[in-house]
Amino acid sequence: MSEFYFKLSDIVFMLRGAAITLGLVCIAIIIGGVIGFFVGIIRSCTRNRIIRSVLAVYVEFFRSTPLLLQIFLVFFALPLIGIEVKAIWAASLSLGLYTGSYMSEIVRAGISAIDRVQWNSGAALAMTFWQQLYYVILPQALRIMIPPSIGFLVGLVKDSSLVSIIGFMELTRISRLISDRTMQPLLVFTITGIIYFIICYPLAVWGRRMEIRLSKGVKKP
Amino acid sequence: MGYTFHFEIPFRNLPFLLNGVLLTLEISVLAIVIGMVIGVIAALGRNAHNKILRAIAGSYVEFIRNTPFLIQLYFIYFVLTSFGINLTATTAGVVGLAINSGAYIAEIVRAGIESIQKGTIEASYSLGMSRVQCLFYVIFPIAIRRMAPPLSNQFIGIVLASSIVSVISAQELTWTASVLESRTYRSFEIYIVTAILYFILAQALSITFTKINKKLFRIGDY
Repeated sequence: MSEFYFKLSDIVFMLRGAAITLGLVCIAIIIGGVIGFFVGIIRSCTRNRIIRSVLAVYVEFFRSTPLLLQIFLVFFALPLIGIEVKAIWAASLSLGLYTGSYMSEIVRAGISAIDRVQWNSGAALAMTFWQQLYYVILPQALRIMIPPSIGFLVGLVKDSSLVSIIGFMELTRISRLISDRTMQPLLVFTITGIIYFIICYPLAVWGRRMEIRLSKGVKKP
Repeated sequence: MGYTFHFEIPFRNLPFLLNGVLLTLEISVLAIVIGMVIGVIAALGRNAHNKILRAIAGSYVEFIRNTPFLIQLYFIYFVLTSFGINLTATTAGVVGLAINSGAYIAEIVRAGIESIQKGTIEASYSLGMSRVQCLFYVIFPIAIRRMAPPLSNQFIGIVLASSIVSVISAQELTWTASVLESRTYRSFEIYIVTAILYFILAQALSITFTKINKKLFRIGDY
């Protein structure tokens, strides 16, 4: 009978779920960061129209479709190719692809904002493309890329709640289970909301502060 | 792997899916309208002179913006039911979507209003305009032109976020697709076609909004 009451161990259960959520977000950032970085650079630097179109289709597809549907697609499509789908891999992959498409747009905007002059200066100093990118362009572009990335990160933590639909055990799924068991949705979902708030609000404030800090000393157009 | 694709299943049921698109648009339009009302009120509340109003509006916006939509939906659906208020799933979905979008719209409206330089407003007063005249002839036109592009993006985001209300069985496109999937078990084909439908919807809305913004406000014309 005591399982029907909301106990302290349930809060511990939820906090472990929050840790799993943060882990999932980290994996998504790693996958999506790498994808977004290379896709963004390729899209803004290549003159090959075919490559640009293919990447544009990828980016536009993941930005114009609901994340829930993307998660469903990855979850149901992978078994067809024979990859056994544990919920964690489907969740990580779909969140990673989603993150990759948005990050690629952020990277593309950052790199496109850098004057052609900077590239030419690097070329005049006999730098290769990757040297120009690493020593000249990226230090300037990162300043533009960081605030929207932090903003996206906050959104990602919230969007990670959707993977609970395919049964992945993170904070939202656990809170749903506890709520169904204890029949106290008000208490359970309020605590869940507070946990998410504690994770997201400091990140959002940090993002706003970084935006102000990074725009100091920038030449006004 | 021996899996044969049966794409005729979603195509045969296309009318059913297209009806789902209509339901999605219904839910989204309702949520957008209510959300705009809530958002404008919350934006004005954040800049109000009254400290209590500012606190209420501020905490509403910050709490909704820093918690997941799914949790908000679960909250509305399950908590209200436990208090005896039995909303239909679709109504709960619209309410949740409206409350969620209201917070984001409030930030966009607030940014639009605050981006107007004080000098412009002082100039309108020095021309002898009353506060209402200034609001109507100076602030509104400038603010609406600043707000229109991010609001358009937000509206498209609302249409895409409406897919989440399918989780509480509100009837819209994703719910339609999952019903079809439970009948035919052709999950991949159905969800791919549904995703393409959303894609077409989002792109069409994007083009429409760009055209409206150009025609109505001459945004992006220079």
